[in-house]
Amino acid sequence: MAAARLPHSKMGKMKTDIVIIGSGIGGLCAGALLAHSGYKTIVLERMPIAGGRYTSVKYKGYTVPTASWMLLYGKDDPVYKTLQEVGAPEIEMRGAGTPMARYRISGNIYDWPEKGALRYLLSVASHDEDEVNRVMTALGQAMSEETPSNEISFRDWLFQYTRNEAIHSIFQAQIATWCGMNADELPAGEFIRALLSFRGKSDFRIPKNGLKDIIDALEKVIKENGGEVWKLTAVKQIVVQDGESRSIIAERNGNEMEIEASVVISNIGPKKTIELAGVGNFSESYLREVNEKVRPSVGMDYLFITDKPLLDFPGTLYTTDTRRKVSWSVPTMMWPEHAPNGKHLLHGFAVPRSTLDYDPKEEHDIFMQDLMDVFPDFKKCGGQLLLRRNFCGEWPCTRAWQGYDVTQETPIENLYNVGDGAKPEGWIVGSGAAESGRIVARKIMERIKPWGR
Amino acid sequence: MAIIVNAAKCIGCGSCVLLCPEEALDVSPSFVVEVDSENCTECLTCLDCCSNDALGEST
Ligand SMILES: Cc1cc2nc3c(=O)[nH]c(=O)nc-3n(C[C@H](O)[C@H](O)[C@H](O)COP(=O)(O)OP(=O)(O)OC[C@H]3O[C@@H](n4cnc5c(N)ncnc54)[C@H](O)[C@@H]3O)c2cc1C
Ligand code: SF4
Ligand code: SF4
Repeated sequence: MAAARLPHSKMGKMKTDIVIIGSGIGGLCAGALLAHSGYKTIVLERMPIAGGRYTSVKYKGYTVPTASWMLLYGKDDPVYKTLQEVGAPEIEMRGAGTPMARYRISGNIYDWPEKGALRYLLSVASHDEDEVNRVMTALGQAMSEETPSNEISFRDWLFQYTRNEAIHSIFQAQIATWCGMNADELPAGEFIRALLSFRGKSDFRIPKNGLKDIIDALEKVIKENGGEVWKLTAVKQIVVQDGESRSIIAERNGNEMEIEASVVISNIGPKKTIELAGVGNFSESYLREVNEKVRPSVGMDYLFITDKPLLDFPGTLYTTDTRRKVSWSVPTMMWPEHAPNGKHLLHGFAVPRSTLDYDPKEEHDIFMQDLMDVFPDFKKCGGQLLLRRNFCGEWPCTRAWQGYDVTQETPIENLYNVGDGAKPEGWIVGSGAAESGRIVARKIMERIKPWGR
Repeated sequence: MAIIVNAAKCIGCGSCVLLCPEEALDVSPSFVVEVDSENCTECLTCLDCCSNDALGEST
């Protein structure tokens, strides 16, 4: 029998220090830090589960991420730091070990060595030491002396030093995998900042039950500190008066409720924040900035079931010589319990040639050709599709292209944006979303005291 | 009553697919969600999962 939606009843009212709209990793990091510091925090989530694009669920017996797979920076990751700072118990996680990655370049497969990895891969792709030196010197200078401008794309920046497509393809594979973008879309300066943020810190980790373990831990901290994480609660409006956010109106169990809050943190993306707060409350220039800047990064994501693992290591294989530059992994090499006994998962992720204009069906055909090319034994190994997904629009790879984020502050007092539309410079994807939450939590703690203190 | 998909709005992100308690949804090769009406219990969970306002109920 269908569950009928209840008609609206009289509006309930509440008061709190902090309301967070959306329980993504940005919202939950901010929420856990603030709740742990004594702020009464209420997180409102429209979906039946918390975590947004940064959690995992059981689907047909397999552990499947809602989008994000892993913690990127190991113990330096903003998510990990948050868990530590709020005293969450240690979460069991595994990394890929060595080699962390392999690259298929012109038909051959090479391990990513622990030291001098980039130079090694460029040498393999180039066979011209002068060319490799030119690129490595330029990258070194960009990282240590003058960061290139964001007005030029990374691909155009690299063209100054090489036109070798095999070299370009190595970078394209990394940029597609880690940013959901193409090298001709990513600002050069931002790529260099991302490389710097990764330097010495890249340490990918996956928890035992997927990222759900992290979301559960953050949610627990919020609740143990007097806060709430309400699911199936959709915020309909941010009430703004005299340039300041006062409250939110949400729908929960068919009832409308108003929650008055000292601060409202929006984790639903800068465009939706404007929609809920009312376009009329923002200046023309802010509206223009958000409209021009905030465009989603995208990705075609595939999960296949196989009878045998199609890779013999738990890290990532980047194929730089396929039609799309695809990243492949077998998550069950790291955690066999992510599939039923005797089964394995194969994960593939690719970015369309343009993130602004693509035909998903066409990309699907290209992806399937790449799959058969890289894994000719796919069918023999019982390969079958578990799930294909197109991450874009309102459920994207990131809400803003790397380097095109808006600031966490909004023109409305006590209204902040967190999440992957408000990533700080150099911080990528979910880690960037988490770092935005940490920044906002710090700003609030500097400005406002919790109630009754 | 049945679940209806607005093909123009659905992006095929699979968010509803993962959370349907009956495994009654799937993403088609053209990245539009398909409902298996045999298995759908009309619990409406999927409506709460869609960020793109692509799902509705018909009477
Ligand atoms: C295929 C893929 C792989 C990825 N892999 C990684 C990875 O390995 N590591 C990594 O760090 N990042 C990865 N990312 C990126 C990462 O998933 C995102 O950057 C991150 O999850 C974004 O978090 P967020 O804080 O912006 O919130 P979101 O996840 O966008 O959460 C926002 C929440 O708000 C809720 N909401 C929306 N509107 C309302 C409303 N009106 N009322 C109440 N709630 C509302 C939504 O339901 C949602 O739960 C990947 C992305 C993709 C697509
Ligand atoms: S209404 Fe419930 S059972 Fe039907 S497709 Fe949606 S989530 Fe699945
Ligand atoms: S959640 Fe919405 S956009 Fe995503 S697949 Fe389902 S119906 Fe389509």
